[in-house]
Amino acid sequence: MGDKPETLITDGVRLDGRKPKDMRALKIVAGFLENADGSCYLECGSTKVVAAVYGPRQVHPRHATLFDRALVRCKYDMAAFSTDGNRKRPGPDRRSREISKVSSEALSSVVFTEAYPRTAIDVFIEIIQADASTRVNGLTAASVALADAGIPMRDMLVALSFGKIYGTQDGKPAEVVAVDMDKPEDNWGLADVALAYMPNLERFVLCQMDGRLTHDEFRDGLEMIKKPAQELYKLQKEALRKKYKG
Amino acid sequence: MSELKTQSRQVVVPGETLATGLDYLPGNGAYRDGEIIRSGLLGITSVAGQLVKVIPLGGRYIPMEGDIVIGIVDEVRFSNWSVEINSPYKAQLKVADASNRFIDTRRSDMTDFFDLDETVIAQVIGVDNNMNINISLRGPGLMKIKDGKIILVNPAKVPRMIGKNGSMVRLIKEGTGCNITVAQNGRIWIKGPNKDKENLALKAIKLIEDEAHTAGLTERVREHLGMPKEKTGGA
Repeated sequence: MGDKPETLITDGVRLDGRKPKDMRALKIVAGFLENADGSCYLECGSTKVVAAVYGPRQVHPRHATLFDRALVRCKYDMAAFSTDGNRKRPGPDRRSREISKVSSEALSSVVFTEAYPRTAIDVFIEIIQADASTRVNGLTAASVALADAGIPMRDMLVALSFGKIYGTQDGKPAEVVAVDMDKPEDNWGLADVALAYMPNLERFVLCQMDGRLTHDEFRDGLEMIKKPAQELYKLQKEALRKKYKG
Repeated sequence: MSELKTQSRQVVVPGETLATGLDYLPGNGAYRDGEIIRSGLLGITSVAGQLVKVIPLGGRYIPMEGDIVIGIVDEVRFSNWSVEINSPYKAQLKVADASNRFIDTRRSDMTDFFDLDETVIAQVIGVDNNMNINISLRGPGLMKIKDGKIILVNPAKVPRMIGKNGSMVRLIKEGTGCNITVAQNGRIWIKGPNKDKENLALKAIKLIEDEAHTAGLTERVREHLGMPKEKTGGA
């Protein structure tokens, strides 16, 4: 994990030069894969994600079928080479099962599942390179892939993280709320929150937190993500439109 | 106050506001969220009077009553066949709907009529709430297919393939001399006088699929088929 840095933010500038309200550089490509019904490639700084959607299709195993709606199954996985090459062993583990579960639930509430009874919609999120905030970037990519697959949805899903990092301000120690955690901030920061949000309906479908935040800090964070969330949403729209405008 | 927030033929993503107020109605692909009509799909808008709908750009085929489908028999049972129709749901073909003739299931072998992997052009005659699909082969143009080519296109692009009142498919038929059946589930059957004509038709169909969302498509298809430009203003 490396050594703990002395400071994560100095006079309002983070380790990688960002301000507290800045996202990392973003790139979204819709229709990235040929075989999938819908797909998306997303870059957020050096976090790189591919999401693929298959379905609606017949449910296997059959006993998992829901008779009044579609089953949205999400599988989150980190590639064996996604971190430093030693830390992540290939295959499912406790952490990716948890993320798969919460992602499935988040996506189920965006999709009009009643439109396709007795079917499964399979979403695969593959983290190619991990630099923190992978679950939220995975969800952002998954929602583009779902839309690309022509699946009826209430809204897009914009997911991002914020957290609290330590550092100095004018020579004095300070704790600052910041948007879009990167690896050192996620590892050494004081708290981090993963959020998934429907930008038009203004509803949250995922909220997870590690560490501790005061009520005010949490409110600040929610306020801070509004602008970057709109930015992300705009990029999603552009990516989807671009696919059809050539 | 009611207001339209979009025009026809715009690409919209799920959740986008299409119109506000109660004077507009959400059509297919759109839904009402209180005072607002939102898109429920990635698609192209279409506004007709008060009706605002979104035409999908992709997605699986979902059967509807009356659709013509091309299916492949994937199971033969005692009194019916299970038919795969390029959809999340399988269709069922009952003996009563399989032929105009009487089929005596006790005396005849079901595979004599339709065997595994045989292809049929059928019509959807029933879809219930559980998405049990019934299809029939009793009707004009419905039959078992024994030769020709079948190609698969995106089911969302079938309407473009057919064109207004069947104009596009008629164009390809005239241009190539092939017999073509465009099924709602995205499968297209081509039967032509020779391989070259069939391939020409196939390429025209691929062209339509790739450029289905663009304007001026008919002209390009004409060009591809080597047909003269259409006279404008003629009857």
